[in-house]
Amino acid sequence: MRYGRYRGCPRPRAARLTALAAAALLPFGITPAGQAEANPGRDYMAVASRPNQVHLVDLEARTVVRSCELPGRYGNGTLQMSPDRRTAFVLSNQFENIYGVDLDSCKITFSAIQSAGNVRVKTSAAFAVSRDGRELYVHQNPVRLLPDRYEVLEPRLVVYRIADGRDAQPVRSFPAPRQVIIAQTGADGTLFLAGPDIYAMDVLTGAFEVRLPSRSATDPRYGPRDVLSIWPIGEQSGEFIRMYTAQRFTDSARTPDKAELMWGYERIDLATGAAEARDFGPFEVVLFSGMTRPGKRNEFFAALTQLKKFDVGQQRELASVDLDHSYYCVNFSSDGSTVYLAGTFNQIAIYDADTLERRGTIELPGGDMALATAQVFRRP
Amino acid sequence: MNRVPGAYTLQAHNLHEIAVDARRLLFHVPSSALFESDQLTGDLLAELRTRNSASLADLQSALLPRHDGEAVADAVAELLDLEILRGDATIAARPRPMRPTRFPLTTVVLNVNTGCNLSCTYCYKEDLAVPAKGRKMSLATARQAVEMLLRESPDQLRYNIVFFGGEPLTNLPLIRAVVDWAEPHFAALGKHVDFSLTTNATLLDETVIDFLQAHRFGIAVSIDGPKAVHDRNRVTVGGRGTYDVVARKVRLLLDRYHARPVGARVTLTRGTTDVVGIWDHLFNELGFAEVGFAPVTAGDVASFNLTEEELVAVFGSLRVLGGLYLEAALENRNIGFSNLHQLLTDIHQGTKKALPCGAGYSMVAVDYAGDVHLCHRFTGSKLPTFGSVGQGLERDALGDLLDARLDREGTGCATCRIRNLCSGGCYHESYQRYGDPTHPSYHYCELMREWIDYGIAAYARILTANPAFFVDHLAPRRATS
Amino acid sequence: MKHLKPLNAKADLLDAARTEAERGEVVAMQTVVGCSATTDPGWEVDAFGGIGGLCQPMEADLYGCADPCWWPAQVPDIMNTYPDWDKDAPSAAEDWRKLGAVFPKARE
Repeated sequence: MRYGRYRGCPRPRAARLTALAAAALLPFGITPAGQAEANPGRDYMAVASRPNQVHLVDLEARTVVRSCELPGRYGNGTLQMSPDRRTAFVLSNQFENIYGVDLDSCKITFSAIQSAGNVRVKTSAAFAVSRDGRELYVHQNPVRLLPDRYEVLEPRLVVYRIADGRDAQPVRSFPAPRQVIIAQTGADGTLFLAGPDIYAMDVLTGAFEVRLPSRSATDPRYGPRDVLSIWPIGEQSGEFIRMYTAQRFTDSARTPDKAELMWGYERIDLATGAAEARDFGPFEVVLFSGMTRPGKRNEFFAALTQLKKFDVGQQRELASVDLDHSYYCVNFSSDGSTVYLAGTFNQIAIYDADTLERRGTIELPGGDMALATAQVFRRP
Repeated sequence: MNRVPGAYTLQAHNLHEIAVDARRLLFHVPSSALFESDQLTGDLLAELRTRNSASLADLQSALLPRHDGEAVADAVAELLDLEILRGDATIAARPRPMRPTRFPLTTVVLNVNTGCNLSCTYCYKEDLAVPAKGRKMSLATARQAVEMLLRESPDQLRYNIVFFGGEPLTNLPLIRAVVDWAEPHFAALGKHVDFSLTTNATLLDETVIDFLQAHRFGIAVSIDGPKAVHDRNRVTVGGRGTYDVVARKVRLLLDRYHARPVGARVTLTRGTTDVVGIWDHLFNELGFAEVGFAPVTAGDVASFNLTEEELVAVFGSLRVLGGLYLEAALENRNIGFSNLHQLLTDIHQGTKKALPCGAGYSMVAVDYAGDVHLCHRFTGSKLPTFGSVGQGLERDALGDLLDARLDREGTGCATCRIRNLCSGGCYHESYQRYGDPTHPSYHYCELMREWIDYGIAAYARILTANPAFFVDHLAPRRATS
Repeated sequence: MKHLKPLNAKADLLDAARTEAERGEVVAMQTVVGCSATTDPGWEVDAFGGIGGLCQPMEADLYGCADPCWWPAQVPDIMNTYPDWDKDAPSAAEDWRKLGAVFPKARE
């Protein structure tokens, strides 16, 4: 594996995140954490579900505005929005194709059919749109299917030009680390790839470095981190984030029986590129996804069969409710007041972020969302 | 660590222990891995052989005080990993290779002429004729055969075209035409093609040799040994011995041809069993790079088959030659004994074969009519064909045949310790002996097992005394599959 | 291996694989070729050995786990080999009766 030195635009320091920078970011829908929403408008959600559709949901009216059909088979429904919030890019056809769907017309304006000939390509869930909306970055796992054996090929990060439209072909291709599952672009154009570690890649040169060690973390106070994430969420809070569980040892001998089991998150601040791994609460139940509440950095919400709110600083659980069934994917309204739970079946659950009271349900037409990502965004 | 099973059972069919000098070797049958086991493992296995099954506690107490309990637990865990032991909770697995549905062909053997200018007594070719009356393959059929090869298996990087017969040099014009056509054809596809043939050598001359050299042919010469031996069976139509001619041509060939090493192929039949003498003449006196021995055990004409006693004698003499090979190997020399050389290569790499050879899987033979046969030995036989160059491979029929051999259940091969090296033996041998190519070659099982034990012992000795031999002389000789 | 010394290439491979496993450095397959990518505790038990931590109800998790080959033994390989297994069952909770057993395919 090659690690290139990161070359790119100097990362804006956190201190420089003034109103000026904030204003520059706002048209792309990134709300810098800590800032109240300055742009009025409506919150929408885009999410895919079986048999093969992607829905545009009006979160204020709590109705499905439109359901657009995707060609072929489902799988897995990972979704990223274009910066102008018009096009949803969806991973489809059992992890092999990415379609760009105009959510207003339901036209498929972009497609990347990645498998060709005897090379089958699967993307786990790792793709992201450039901040200027021109390029799509996709992590590919190719394998050549020969008559008597499979030949596993090197994983790669490819770049598509979105304007190339349907049947787009990559315009750039770089070697990439293995086992990359989710991706996101930062404000300065850096591509973050979350795999065994979280990498930062320069999309022009392909050079990448480890921005946040995870599997290669060496803190002796902890055992190895167990990470799960298939949902590229966190944009509402200006973050690229995933959770881990780990043993936190209480003695110098690192005795497993005496260790505390902790939940933590690995977070990249999308505005600054800063990386942070920290515990946020005790590990008592399995949680599948979580993110920081927009506007309240100290509150972390996560869900699977319960919806839980944590005080990150105190590393304790503040509140918890049992859910009517398991949900996979957490997201928030732009102002952080409302939690949306999606994934698994075809229901979007709505909860009040302060009280954790159930506020309602939006039922999607069709079948299960399963692993789909629910993305929430503002539209004028 | 998983729950410890109550008792362990020995899966005897998955291992084979051999003593070599003072060492204890363990051949792991499912993988063809070879280990040296320590005293503890040896004692542990001996203990398990005396009982049906034993718990860890039983084994530990039985092996005290010589071996401490923890070491026994470790050794048990290692054997469990290798499936030499099985825990009581597990069902004995007999994994079975999948039926082939795709055929990664790399090699096509073209029977360019059923005619031959000789009339060797033991020849198995059922369709043999004099050259003039032989059925010759046309260029069109040859090209179709190669095109079929590429169509059925387009993804390989290297392919092989083998010219066979009869005597292939009786149809040299076709060979030249095929080579002229094939080389640019493959080059245009970005692929590589190799040519080879087996010949009786009588039709070689400078021009022919230069042609073969220019295209880097792999050459094997059929020759049975010194004059007295060779002339017994390798005769003209009129019954005259051919040694004088063959020896002269071989000297010409070995003098002039240097593109690739040339091998001699010896047929051992009734009355022809002096392996060492034959090798000595061919390797030391004539100068072949290597000599391979093929015992006739199941010929159509039973009078040529080696008798039971002769077969034992032949394998015995292969071991005597093996002794010379071993001596030379320790001095880092290779005396060109193909049979042992190939066996040592397989042991070195840990080759594991589900099928005895590539016939019908990576290699097929095509006759003058364009019909597809399992291999070159079957052209002219009564075994049904498997398609044609026009219609392509009959995959179902091929799959059926190979599947029958792959399914060892109910055969002696199911538990045989050399099942992954022998795989039931040559299809043609079986066909001749039992009328069924999928029938295992039981008639030389015991001899084959002893031969492989011999190879393992030789390997272990060379590995200890001169491991450089493997690097210098055992270049990977991958089969064409 | 402590009690078996490798003498050939295959034995070396076995030895190396075993040592790696002991060190906990099992590197999962990079590409999902068939459903053999992961082995989590499956639908029988959760990470704590009970069932409270499993997704509720079980159907909520069906496609979430079948799609990426999370539990290869219990469901057909929907990623590659049986992509139409869920064709008539977009809703696991309601359509589970239509999810049938699969059988080895006939010859290609």
